[in-house]
Amino acid sequence: MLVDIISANSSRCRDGILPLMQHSILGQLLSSWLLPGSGHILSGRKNTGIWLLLAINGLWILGMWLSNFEASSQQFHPWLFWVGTGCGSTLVLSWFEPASDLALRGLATVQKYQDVPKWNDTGALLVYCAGLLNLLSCLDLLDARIDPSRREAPAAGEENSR
Amino acid sequence: MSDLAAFLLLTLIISVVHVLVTRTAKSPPSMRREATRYFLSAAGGMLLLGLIIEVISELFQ
Repeated sequence: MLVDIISANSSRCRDGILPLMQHSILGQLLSSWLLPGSGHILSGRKNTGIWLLLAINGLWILGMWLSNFEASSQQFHPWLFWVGTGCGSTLVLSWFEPASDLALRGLATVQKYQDVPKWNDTGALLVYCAGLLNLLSCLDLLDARIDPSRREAPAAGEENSR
Repeated sequence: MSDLAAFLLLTLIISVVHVLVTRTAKSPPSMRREATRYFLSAAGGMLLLGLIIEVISELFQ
């Protein structure tokens, strides 16, 4: 009885959300937007995906840490924030506003520009660059779907004729 | 010096992502070598340009 239930559920899992995301370009794009590199992994380009995951997420995490989460705040960076939303995690984080208490403290402590931590702007820059790079990786996913022939190895005769 | 480190890190990541998203069937097989070449030419070129601008500004002061 128990075995029947488990096998029925495992077959349901096989038809679940993961295969849908693997085959649908929208699923891959959504996954890549939320977690950079994951769309490439789902599309079968594992090496590229892992490198992108490490590079873009590393940049994003370092930037958020250096900027004290200010880069995810629309209050601190009303325009540049939208560049950072190239990584979906910036938008998700902005719902929680982790830097809002910094804004309240800032009113009391920041008297002049030098009071802002030295690495703050650098951190914000890293997050916004990560957002732009993730847009590029999403476009790469789309391009691979539109024109897969660009990545295919040329035929042996074609290579020799050049 | 810390600004230079941030610049180099950013250039390195941009080089890696650029190489990853522009790879075609004709690209060299080694991704690391290609990314290193891009990184050295981009970061080296920009540093060289900065150095030339510094020297010119020193000369005219």
